[in-house]
Amino acid sequence: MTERPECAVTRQLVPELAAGTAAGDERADALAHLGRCLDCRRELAATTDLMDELLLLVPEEEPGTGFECSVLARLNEEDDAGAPVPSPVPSPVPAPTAPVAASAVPPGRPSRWSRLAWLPPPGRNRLTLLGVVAAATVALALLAAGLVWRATEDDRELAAAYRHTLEVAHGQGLSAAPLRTRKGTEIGTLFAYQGEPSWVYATFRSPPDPGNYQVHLLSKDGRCLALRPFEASTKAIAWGGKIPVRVSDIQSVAFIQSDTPVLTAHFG
Amino acid sequence: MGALTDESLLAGMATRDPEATAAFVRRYQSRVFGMAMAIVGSRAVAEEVAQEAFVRAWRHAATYDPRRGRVATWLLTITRNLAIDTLRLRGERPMDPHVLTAALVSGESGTETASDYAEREHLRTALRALPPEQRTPIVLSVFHGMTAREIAEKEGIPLGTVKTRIRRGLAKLRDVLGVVDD
Repeated sequence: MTERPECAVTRQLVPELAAGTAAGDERADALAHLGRCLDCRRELAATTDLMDELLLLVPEEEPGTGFECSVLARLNEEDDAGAPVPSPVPSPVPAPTAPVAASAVPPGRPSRWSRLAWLPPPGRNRLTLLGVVAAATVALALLAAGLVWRATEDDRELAAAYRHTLEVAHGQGLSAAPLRTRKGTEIGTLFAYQGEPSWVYATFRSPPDPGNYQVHLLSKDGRCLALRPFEASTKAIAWGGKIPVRVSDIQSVAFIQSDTPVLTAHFG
Repeated sequence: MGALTDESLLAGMATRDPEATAAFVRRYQSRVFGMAMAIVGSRAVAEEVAQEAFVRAWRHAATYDPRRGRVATWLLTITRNLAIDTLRLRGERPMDPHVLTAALVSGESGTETASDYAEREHLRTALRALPPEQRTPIVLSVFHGMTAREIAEKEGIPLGTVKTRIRRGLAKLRDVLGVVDD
């Protein structure tokens, strides 16, 4: 079939329309024709579909550690700043081409990665971890001693034991929250220690499902901070890691598997 | 949450549901970052672009219309446009189109399903089979957002030739994929 002259002109421009690169005047002329010509609209739709498929050929690549947290923290800031919740009404019938208009990222915008600068590179924190675990063990043992005192002595003695515990560990405070599954079942305890360094330490009454967990701390000011991941084996009954915030600033700590927070401790 | 469709996660994000938002970011971060890297070629800049792309998606989630395309292509288009705008503002050059083309046809992919993989592989093969004089302007147009005139100036060839090469190349890809309209 022979193309009509106006169709031939429009179809020359179809690739640029589909890629969203057509110049304004050419685009306006072409859109006017597309509004009248079903065949050219089909041509444009097919080319747009093809270009969409080409976009999907780009290889995936993992961003740096903490990227997810940084994005979520940024979104929290946007939310706090009062970005309106758009009406969940579908947009009007789309124009024939649908590249999303997006203005540029201002150059030189301050990086937000500094928030996560405290995070040690993977594999370089074994000694630190041992220190944390040892400190946690000492503190928990002393806390347990304190609890024994509570059973036999009055509250003043308990307070004294608690102070002694913190004194020995050079800490300023120790608190705890139940670690619950999504169904609310309590399967362990998350201890949070304020000191140098501050840390959290989870104990499980029974080993959680084996596998790799991401551990995220949500602070009361809306920041999401990635903690040391947890590789749970069938014998894993504890996990610990340093935290970059004060214990009093913790909102919750979540163990995440396959995009889902499966265990969470809320400090309120 | 992991089993929810892309559209469901996007709808959750539109209502500012934190779990849906987090799941959406986790699901797409490697794709978005991959797209940004493919264009800007620098991890630091790509992370800035990728982060901004998620912010744009979050802001405009409620305006997503499935009739206009899949969530993945919607999000990748946002990312591509941001990456191009960022480079233009900084006065920097995008990644060498030949390097990008090599990555596109290499077949290295991540989380796609078996059927998606077969479809992509088909397209990769077709793209690989195109003569370079057709493949390069297509890559420059689709990924670098260059107009036919800009491509002509960059490659030092007539504007009409560029348009013809792009059209012919795209026609071959469509023929291979069987998406030619009857």
